[in-house]
Amino acid sequence: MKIALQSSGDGEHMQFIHQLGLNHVVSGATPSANGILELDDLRRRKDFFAEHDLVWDVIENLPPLCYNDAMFGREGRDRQIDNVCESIRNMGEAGIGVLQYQWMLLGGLRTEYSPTGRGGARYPRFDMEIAKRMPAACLDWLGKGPDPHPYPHLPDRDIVAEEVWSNLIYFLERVVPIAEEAGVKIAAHPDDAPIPSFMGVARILINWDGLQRAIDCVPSPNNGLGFCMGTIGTMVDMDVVKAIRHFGSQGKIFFAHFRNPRGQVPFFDEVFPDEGDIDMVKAVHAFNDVEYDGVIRIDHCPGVIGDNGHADRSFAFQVGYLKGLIQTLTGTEIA
Amino acid sequence: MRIALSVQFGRDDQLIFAQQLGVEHVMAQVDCYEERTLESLRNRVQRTGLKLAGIEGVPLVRVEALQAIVKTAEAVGIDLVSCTGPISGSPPQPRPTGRGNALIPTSADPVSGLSAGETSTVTNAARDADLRLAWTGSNSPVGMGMDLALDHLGEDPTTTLAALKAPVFIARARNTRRGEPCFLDEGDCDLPRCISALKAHSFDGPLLAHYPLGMVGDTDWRHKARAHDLGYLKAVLQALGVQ
Repeated sequence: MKIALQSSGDGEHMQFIHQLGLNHVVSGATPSANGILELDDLRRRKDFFAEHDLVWDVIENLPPLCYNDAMFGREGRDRQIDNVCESIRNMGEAGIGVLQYQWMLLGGLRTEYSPTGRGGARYPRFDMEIAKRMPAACLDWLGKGPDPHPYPHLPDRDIVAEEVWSNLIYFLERVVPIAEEAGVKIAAHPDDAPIPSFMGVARILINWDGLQRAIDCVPSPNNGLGFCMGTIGTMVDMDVVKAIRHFGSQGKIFFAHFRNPRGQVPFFDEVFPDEGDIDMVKAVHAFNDVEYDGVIRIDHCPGVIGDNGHADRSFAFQVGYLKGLIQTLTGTEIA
Repeated sequence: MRIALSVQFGRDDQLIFAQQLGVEHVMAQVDCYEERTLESLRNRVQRTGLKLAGIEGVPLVRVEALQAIVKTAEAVGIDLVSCTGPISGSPPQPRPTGRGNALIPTSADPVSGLSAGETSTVTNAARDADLRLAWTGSNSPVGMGMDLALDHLGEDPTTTLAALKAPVFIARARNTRRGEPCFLDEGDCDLPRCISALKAHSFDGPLLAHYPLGMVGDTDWRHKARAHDLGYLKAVLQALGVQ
């Protein structure tokens, strides 16, 4: 298991990552004007990280603007899918092995940063009651702005689950063969928050069956999951440890997010890793037992007093926590 | 065994930081040992919902002063005092030679400024006050308990702990590589093994992270490094079934 943080490429932040003893980073990538992750750009960025002794393993995420027409099944989707295929070929050339994407038509949803955590720490929260009352506020996740998302292209009609599935399968049937050729694994991040629909638009990767169907609908060793512990942990009646064993033993966990929630939809908080509902000791055991050797990225974290924009204090706590678990439970060095 | 965080008197933000990171006990450093100060410390800690495990960094240099501190601590209900003394020779300067050029703190063994007779006077006073006195150096003066740095436990911590002549009142998780301080997860000392040995030894005192390293963009108090160390220790205790 390789622990990583997300890096924007800021020099001080990369030194911080180094000081935490991490050798891997996860990063997004900026497409060119025609929506392609260009080979030169990917190589330049990978080399940049390498100059700082960091390995860039995962692109997180494929920018939704590169495939929003495909998600909605709109005109122009074939052109977008061609571009995604070209991006995947470029990733293979650049040696970046995992592409995480989200098939969330309306993106991630949260309702507040609640200062109700221990010691007044701020917890990202989802509360379905608030989401129903103020749906637009949910889309502008915690006031961060809609810029990276495919909005304001809100649909003017309801979209049912089978239509979303149909669009996903159409996309995967064309993209997965290219991923196989390029040696790139494509990893679906589940719907966060995992609710059946929002503003009349269905969400499909919201439970055990949905995750399995995403894998099985286009069978391939290169089609799998971005296993977000936090999101999966908030699915109704979900047992995350069992899910790690189930999907991990199929070799379908291509990338993982380390996060611990408290509660499940319709209401949950993202809390510190030592106090959530997931038994993290058992979870690390499970990852170890299924011989997961991919990247696990420390995910969103609570707001800690005096922290900076990168939330370094909170991330440092979580990195230390995961390392402590791995070293105690497996006796291994951190990759 | 419970995790504690070293805090500075008057820095209430550090108490909030401790609480947010799931710590319930603090060890405090104070500049003044008057009853009013120690009372204020105790009250401020309690008001946040934390527990004051004790005070630390108390200079072991003058017998009269230490006797007075023991008396005052007893009066305000502080039952654990960690003592230190001047270090021999010139203190080494911090150097940016840690992982990712992290600043390595000074590390030197303090020496007691008291004679054997004076130490005995103080330890007797502490015993009468039902107060535990701990010493931060590698060789505890006779009659005092240990404020033990875990990297001193060597390759067989269970045997080393069993052979100690003094009781362990405080444990400090720290790691070193070839004698140089480093982050908890990277040194020559197998800390999970040491903490497991402490558990088997029925250690029930505070476990603290020792000297946080200097990380980029961090504060003088080193919030980032302390957060990392607290996360590490929380995980080790959870994995070992110590809550």
